[in-house]
Amino acid sequence: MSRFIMVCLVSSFIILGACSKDHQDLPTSFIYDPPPTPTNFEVVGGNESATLTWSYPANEFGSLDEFRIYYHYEIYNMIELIGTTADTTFIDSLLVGNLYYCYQVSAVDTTGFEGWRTTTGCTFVRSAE
Amino acid sequence: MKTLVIGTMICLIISASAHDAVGGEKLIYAVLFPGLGHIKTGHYGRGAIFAGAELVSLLSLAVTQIQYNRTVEQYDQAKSFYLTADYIGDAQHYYDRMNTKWDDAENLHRYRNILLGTAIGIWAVNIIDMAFIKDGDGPPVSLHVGRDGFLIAKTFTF
Repeated sequence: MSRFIMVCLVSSFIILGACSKDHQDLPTSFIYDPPPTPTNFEVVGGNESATLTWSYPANEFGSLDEFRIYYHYEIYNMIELIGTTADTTFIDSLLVGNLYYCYQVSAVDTTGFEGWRTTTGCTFVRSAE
Repeated sequence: MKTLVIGTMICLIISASAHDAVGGEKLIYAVLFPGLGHIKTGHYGRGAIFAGAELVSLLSLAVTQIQYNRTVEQYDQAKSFYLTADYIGDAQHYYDRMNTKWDDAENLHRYRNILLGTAIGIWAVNIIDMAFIKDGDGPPVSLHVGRDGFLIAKTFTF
């Protein structure tokens, strides 16, 4: 009988052991401090080009690495990185005319962390002819 | 979990003591699976209730355990993506997902422990019930002899 009880004990520990996987503690808080989002974002269409301008707090330029400029395909809600710049102006040239182009811009800090992107700015690009 | 392990050990010690005190093969069956001892001694109704309740508890426990493991994996994945995010939008998305999965895991963990406690409780009550149940002379069987045949009747005890 004692052998039988031992078998039961071992089985119980195996069953309980299978149930012992517990989830870990939740990380305490949100650990990221993103760079500010560029403001006053404007897109002006030209002849087969588009000029993008925006503002950024002067005191944040020290921790800024670059700005990232994206195409925003609104129909698919997808973005595509088209370039980077350290300035608050970007000229997108060699575009196909008679089309609408939409853009978003974000700031990246020196650690490589990217902040929130701006809202989408669109413009109509004229044909050169 | 430690409480449950200690509880199981106490149940086993009680069952071992009960066996020593009362004796009999019926307790071995009762320890083996709830309801089995009752069925072996002819208490089919009570045995079916114990066995059915234990089966439902164990099945629910298994399902909850699988769901819990899956949720913990999803939580770990979300946490990994959150900690390696390089865009604030991704970080926010995976942080929210991680929180949701952690809440789900908490709930499933609680349900799992309740079901585990229920299964152990049914098992313990079954052993205690078996230890104090009267053996009697087994299930009553009666024989009625008629002019054109005979009838054997077996009584089920609850």
